Amino acid sequence: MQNYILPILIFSPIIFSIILMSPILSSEEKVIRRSTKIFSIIHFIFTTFLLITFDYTNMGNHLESNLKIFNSDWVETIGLNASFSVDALSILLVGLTSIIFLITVFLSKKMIKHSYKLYYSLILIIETAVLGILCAKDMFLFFLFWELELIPMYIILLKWGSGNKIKIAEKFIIYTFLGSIFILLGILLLYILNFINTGTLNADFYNIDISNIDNKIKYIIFLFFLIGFGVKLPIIPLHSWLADVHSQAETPVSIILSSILLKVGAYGILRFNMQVLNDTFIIFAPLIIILGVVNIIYGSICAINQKDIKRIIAYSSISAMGIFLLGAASLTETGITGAIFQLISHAFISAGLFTIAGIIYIKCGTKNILKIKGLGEKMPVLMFLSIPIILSAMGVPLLSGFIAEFLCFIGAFTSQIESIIDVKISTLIALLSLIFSCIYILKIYHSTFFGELNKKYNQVKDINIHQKIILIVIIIFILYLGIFPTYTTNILSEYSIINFNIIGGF
Amino acid sequence: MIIINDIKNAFLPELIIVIFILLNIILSFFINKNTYKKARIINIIGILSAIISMAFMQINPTYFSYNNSLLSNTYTIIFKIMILISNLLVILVSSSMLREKRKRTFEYFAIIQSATLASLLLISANDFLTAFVSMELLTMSCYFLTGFRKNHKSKEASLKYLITSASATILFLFGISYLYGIFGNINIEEINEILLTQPINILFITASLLIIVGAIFKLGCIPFSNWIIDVYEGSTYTTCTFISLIPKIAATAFISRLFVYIFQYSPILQIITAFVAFISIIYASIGAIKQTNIKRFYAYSSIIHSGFILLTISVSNVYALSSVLFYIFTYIFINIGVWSASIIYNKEYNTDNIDDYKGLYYKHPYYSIALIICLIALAGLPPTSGFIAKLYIFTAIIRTNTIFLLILLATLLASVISIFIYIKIIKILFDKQQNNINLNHKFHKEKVILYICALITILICIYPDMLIKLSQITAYYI
Repeated sequence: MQNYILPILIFSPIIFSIILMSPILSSEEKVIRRSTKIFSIIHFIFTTFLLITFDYTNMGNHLESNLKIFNSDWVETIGLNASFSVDALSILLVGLTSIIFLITVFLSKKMIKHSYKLYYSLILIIETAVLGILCAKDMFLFFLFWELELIPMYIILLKWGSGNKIKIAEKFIIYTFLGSIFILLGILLLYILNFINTGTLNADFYNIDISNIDNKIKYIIFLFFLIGFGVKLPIIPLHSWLADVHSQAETPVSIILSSILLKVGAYGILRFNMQVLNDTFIIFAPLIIILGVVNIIYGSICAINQKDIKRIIAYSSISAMGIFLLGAASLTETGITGAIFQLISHAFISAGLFTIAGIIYIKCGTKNILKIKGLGEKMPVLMFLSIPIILSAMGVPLLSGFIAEFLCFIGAFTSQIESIIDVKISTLIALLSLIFSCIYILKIYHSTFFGELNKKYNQVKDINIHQKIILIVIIIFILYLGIFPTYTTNILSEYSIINFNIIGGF
Repeated sequence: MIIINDIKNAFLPELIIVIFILLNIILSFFINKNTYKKARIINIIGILSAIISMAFMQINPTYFSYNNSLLSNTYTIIFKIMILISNLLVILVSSSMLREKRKRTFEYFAIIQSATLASLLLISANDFLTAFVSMELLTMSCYFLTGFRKNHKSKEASLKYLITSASATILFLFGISYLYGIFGNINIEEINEILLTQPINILFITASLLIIVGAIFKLGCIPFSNWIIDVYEGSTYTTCTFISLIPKIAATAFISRLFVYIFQYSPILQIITAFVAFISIIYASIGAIKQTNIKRFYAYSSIIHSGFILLTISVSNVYALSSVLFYIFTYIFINIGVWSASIIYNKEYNTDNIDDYKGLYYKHPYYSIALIICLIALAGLPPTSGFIAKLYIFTAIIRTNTIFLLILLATLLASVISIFIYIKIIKILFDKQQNNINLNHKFHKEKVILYICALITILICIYPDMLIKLSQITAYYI
C-alpha cells in the first residue's frame, strides 16, 4: 500500500474529473460544486497526512513508488519509468497545491456562472498535472504532465473570463507551447547526451550522467530550460502574456495561474537548471541575478502605472518572482532557502490579493481602482481581513512576505558570485522594490476602501461566509509562516545544503 | 503438392479475400433489398476469416513461395493484420456513404476488398514485378473509389489521381528496368546478396531514386503529394478514411523492406529521403494553416504524418522499423477516430467547412472531447499515443546516426507549427458563436467507434510497453 500512496495522490483528481464529466452526476451546479468540494477536502486531508508523516530528516527521496503495471515500467524499452518520488521541496509544494486548489474550489461558487461540469473537471485535470509535475522522477513523465496542464488551461481561458477572451487564450497557448518545446528540446538533449556518455537509455533525472560532455552543449541545454521555464515564471522578455491573461481570466483561474503555475515554473528551474545542471548554473548565476533585478524593478514600475486591480497584482507577481530568482541565483544557503520560502509565501499572498480583487469585481462590476471608492463603509469585514494580506505583500515583519524577502536579500548580499555588475549593488537596486511595493499595494487598499462612497455602490453587501473562510485560512497561513518560520526554513536550509551547489554565504 | 503448400503458407488470407471479392460481385446481381446490412455482414465475415486464417501460416522461418516472388514471416503477418483491422474499421464507419447509394453497396465493397488484396500482396512482395502489379491494382481500386460519387469534383479528382499516379508508375517501372539492367535480377533478396559484394555506382542510385519516387507517391510526400489534397476533397468521407490508411500502411511495409534490403547501401539515398520527409512536414504544416475545408485540412495533416513515417524509414535499421510499426499502429486508431468524427458531423449537418464546427462542444460535449483527444494525438502531445509514438521515433533516430540528429532537431522545430494547426480546431470547437443548426442527438454507430478510438489512444499512452515489444520483435524478422 505504501507504494501506491503517490499514484493515488496524483491520479485521484483526474479520476474524479472523469466521474464529474460522465452522465452519472446531474449537471446541477449545487451537486457538481459540492461533490468537488468534498473531494478537494478529502484530498487536502490526505496531503496533510502525508506532510505530517513525511520524514524531513532524510533529505533523499523518501516516499518512492513505482506505478507498476504487468510487472513492467512505462516504456521500458526506451528507458522511461512511470516512477514518482518526493523530496522535501516537492512535498511542500504538493501541500501548497492541494490547499490552493481547495481555496479555488471554494471561491468558484459565485464567480463561475455556466458549464459547471466542464469547469470543475478541467480544474481537477490541472491539479493532477501539477501534482504529477512535482512528483515525477522521469523527465518525460515530467514533460507529459507539463503538457497535460496546457490544453485544459487554454479551454478555461477560452470559455470563462471577460474581454477579448479568444485573443488572450491564443496568446497564452502560443507562449506556453513555445516554452514547452524548449523544455522538450532540453530534455531530449539531456537524454541523448546521457546515452552517448553511458550507453544506456535513461530518463531519470536523478541518475543522469553528463559529466564528460562539452561545456558548450551544456550551456545550450541550460538556456533551453531557462527559456522554457522562464515563460511560465515569467522572466522579463517572456512575460507579456501574464498581465493580459490575469486581467481577463476569472478570479479562481487567476489564483491557479499565479499561485500554482508560476511556482511550477520556479520548481522546474530549481530541479533542472540548479540540480541537474548544477555546474553550469554557477556560470549563468550573474545573468540570472541581473534578470531577477530587472524583473523586480520592471514589475513594480509597471504595477504602479496600472489602474486595473488584477493587472497590478499580476505585475506584482512578476516582481515577486524576480525576488525568487535573486535569492536562488545567489547560491547561498540563506538565499536558496529564502527563494523557496518566497514561492510558498507568495502563493498565499497572491491568492489572498486575487480573492480580494475578485470579490470587489463581483460586487462593483469594475476592476478600475479609480472608479471604486469608500467600500470600507459597506464592507468592513473585507476591509479588516485584507489588512494582513496587504501588509504581507508589502513585506511588513511578522508576516510571511517579510521573511521570504529578507532571506532572499540577505542571501544576495552575502553571495560570492563574481560578475560585471557587483551583486551587492544589484541587490541594493532591487531593494528599491520595497518602496515601490508600498506604493502600489497601498494604492489598491487606499483607493478601494477609503474615500467617499460612490452612490452606485449603496446596495453592496459584505462578504459571505464562504469568502470569510477563504480569507481567514489564507491569513492563518500567512501568520503561521511569518511568526513561526523556523520550522519551514530549517527544513529548506538543510535541503538546500544537500541538494544545491552552494558557494557562498555566512 | 507445392502449390497447396504455397497457398497454405503464403497466400491464404489473399485467397479468402479473392473469394469474397467474387462473392460480392455475384451477390450484387441477386440482392436488391437491404443490401447494406447484408453486404456489411458478409464482408466483416470475410475479413475476420482472413485474420483467423493467418494462424495456419508458416512464419518461422521465412517461407518463400511462387518462385521466390512472395514471402511470409512475422513482419508481413503483423502488417497484414494491421491492414485487415483498419479495413474492418473502415467498413464499420462506411454506412453514411452507402446510405445514399444503396444499390451499389456490393460493388463498393468489392472495390474496397480488391484494394485490400492489393495491399496484402504488396506487403509480402519479394519481387519488383509482384510489387508493381499489386501497386497498380491498389491504385486502380483507389481511382474507382475516388470516382464513386456522381458529381463533378469526384470525377475531376479521379482523373487527376489517374494521371499523376500513371506518371509516377512510369518512373517506378523505369527504375525497375534499370535495376534489372544492373543486376540481371528483380528479386529483392537476391539483389541484396549481390549488393553485399558489389560496390554501388551512380546508375544504381539513379534507379533507386526512380523507384523511391514511385513509393513516395503512394505514401504521399513532397513533391508528389498534391494529388492527396484534391483527391480527398473530391471523394466521400469513407473513401478518405480508406485512402488515408490502407495504401499508406502497405506502402510503408514495402518501402521499409526496400530500404533495409537495397537502399541502405548508399547513404546518399537515405539523406535525400530524410530531407524530402523534412520538407514535406514543413510544407504541409504551413499549408494546413489557411485551410477552411475539413477534408483538405486532414489531407495536409496526412502529409505531415507520411513525412514522419518516411523520415524514420530512411534511417533503415531495426529500431527505426520498430518505431515505424508502433507509429502506424497508433496512427490507425487516431486516424479512424478523426475521420469517424467528421463522418458523423457530415451526416448530421452536411457540411465540409471547418467554421461550421463553431461551438460544437456545447451541443455534443462527449463527441467533442473524443475528437479533441484524437486531435491532440495527431499533434503528438501527451497524454496520448501520438506522443509516445513520436518519442519512440526520436529515440530510434538517436540510437543510430548523428547525421540524422540534425534533421531530427529541425523536424522537432517544424512540428511546433503542426501543433498549432490542431490547436486551431480545438479553439473552433469551443467558440462562442454558434451556428443555427438544430440540436440532434441521434445515435450513430460511428460514435461508438470514435469513443473506442479515443479510449485506445489514451490507453496506449499508459501501457505502451506491450505494443513496443511486439513491434521490436516484428522488426527483427523483416
